[in-house]
Amino acid sequence: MISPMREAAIIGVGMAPVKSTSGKSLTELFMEAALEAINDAGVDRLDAVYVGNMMSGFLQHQEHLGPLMATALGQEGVPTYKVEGACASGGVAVNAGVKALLSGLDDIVLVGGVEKMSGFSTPEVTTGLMMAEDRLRVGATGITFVGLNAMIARAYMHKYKVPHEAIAQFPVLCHKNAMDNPKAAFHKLVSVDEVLKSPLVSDPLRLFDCSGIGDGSAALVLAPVEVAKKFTDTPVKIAASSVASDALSLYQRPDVTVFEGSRKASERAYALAHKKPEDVNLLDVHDAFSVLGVMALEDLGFARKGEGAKLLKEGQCERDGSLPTNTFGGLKARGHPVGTSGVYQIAELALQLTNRAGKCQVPHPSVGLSQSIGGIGGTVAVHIVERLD
Amino acid sequence: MTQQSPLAGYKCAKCNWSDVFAVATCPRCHGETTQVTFPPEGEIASFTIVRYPPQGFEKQSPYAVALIDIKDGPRVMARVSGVLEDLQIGKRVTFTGIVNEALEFKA
Repeated sequence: MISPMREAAIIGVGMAPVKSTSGKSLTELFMEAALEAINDAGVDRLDAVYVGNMMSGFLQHQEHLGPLMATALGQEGVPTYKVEGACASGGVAVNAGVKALLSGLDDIVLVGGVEKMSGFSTPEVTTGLMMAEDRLRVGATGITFVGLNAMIARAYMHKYKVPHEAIAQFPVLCHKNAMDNPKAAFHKLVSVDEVLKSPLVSDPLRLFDCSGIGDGSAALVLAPVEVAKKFTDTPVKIAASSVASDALSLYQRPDVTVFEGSRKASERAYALAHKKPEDVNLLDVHDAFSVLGVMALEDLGFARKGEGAKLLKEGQCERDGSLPTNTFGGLKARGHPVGTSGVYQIAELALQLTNRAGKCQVPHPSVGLSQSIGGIGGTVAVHIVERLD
Repeated sequence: MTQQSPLAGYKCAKCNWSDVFAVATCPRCHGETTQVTFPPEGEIASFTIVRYPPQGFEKQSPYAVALIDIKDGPRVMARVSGVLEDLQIGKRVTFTGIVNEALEFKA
């Protein structure tokens, strides 16, 4: 594996609150997060702007988000890129920005994501999300994204004899953590019993197994590690930025209870960062559906297959546990504005590592890992971040 | 739009990779594929019942969609008709045709 000549650091963090309905435009949402990140970093110029987004073309009839956002920031002239990787768009945008920085061509890079999903009917949003699957081959069956994940959940529970109660612990944890996050979309405690009694969406998945979509934007300002301390006393090193792909469609996979993309992206990330799973003490995973949170614990190397829910039962994923997970509420309760969730994850890890997580703060985090899944696992972005002391 | 047809597909002559969709070049070994007919039988690998459908499917819900392993053939995603409550992993299903471009099996 090639070792990059440079290292990237996060010097500024910004997040708009996630809301089911924000009343804001794409540009207003992005500006809120980007300006917060730019002010946090204290930079007066940007060398490049990366915007992660999945659905603006379909929902808002708006593309060309790169110059749209750069112009709004008064940065017209810099190279801009819209990055799309379905629900992993944000994570892939960060990866693209990190690569620009590691190449030595750009120094101060803004990476952000934005998604606006309010104001549309359930069939409209469902249709948009299905654009992450193979339109011609799979779309004709009338399957939905919840439905694809429901097939995974059923196969997982059947293969490993894990009851629904066990995977329902994931949304319970996320709702508990979101109570302390002022930027979370949902401030409501949920019990395992409530998850199991909530309305069926796509059998066996129920309403509280599913993350809440919404409007949101998050952004990071990146700089080379060697200059990061000029801007902030508390830079966070991006020890690894890794993206892997897998067969696009669920039917093309022999085993649907594992995301090979997660395995590949995390194995590469651990190698790049010279870390092992046991070095990680802060986690932010793509819990778009309860079962995905549990599978992430396994696919990223923290539990054996079929045993992810044990970590939840033992309390290891709690904020005072050995592997605090989704400490701001995760996709489930912070909310899942799809194309930017991957940026929220890394922003939240950065706040935790710099002791700026407010009431969500965990005691002594030193190494954080984020995992963002696009589509039904066709794209996975994994980042490892650590304190720069 | 109902089309009565055998369960047709494509198979790579070199490495045996197969799919029900028309693919001229095998994605595994880039060999040439030839048209074949699969047995009209399969087994449910997993399934769901869609209750909140996408645009264009609103009037059909609830309906079942399943991953089906075709006997001596590929895995496919298809609609399944029959008593939805009786569906389970491992259940045998029979190919009934192509409806609105989707494969349909009967449980």
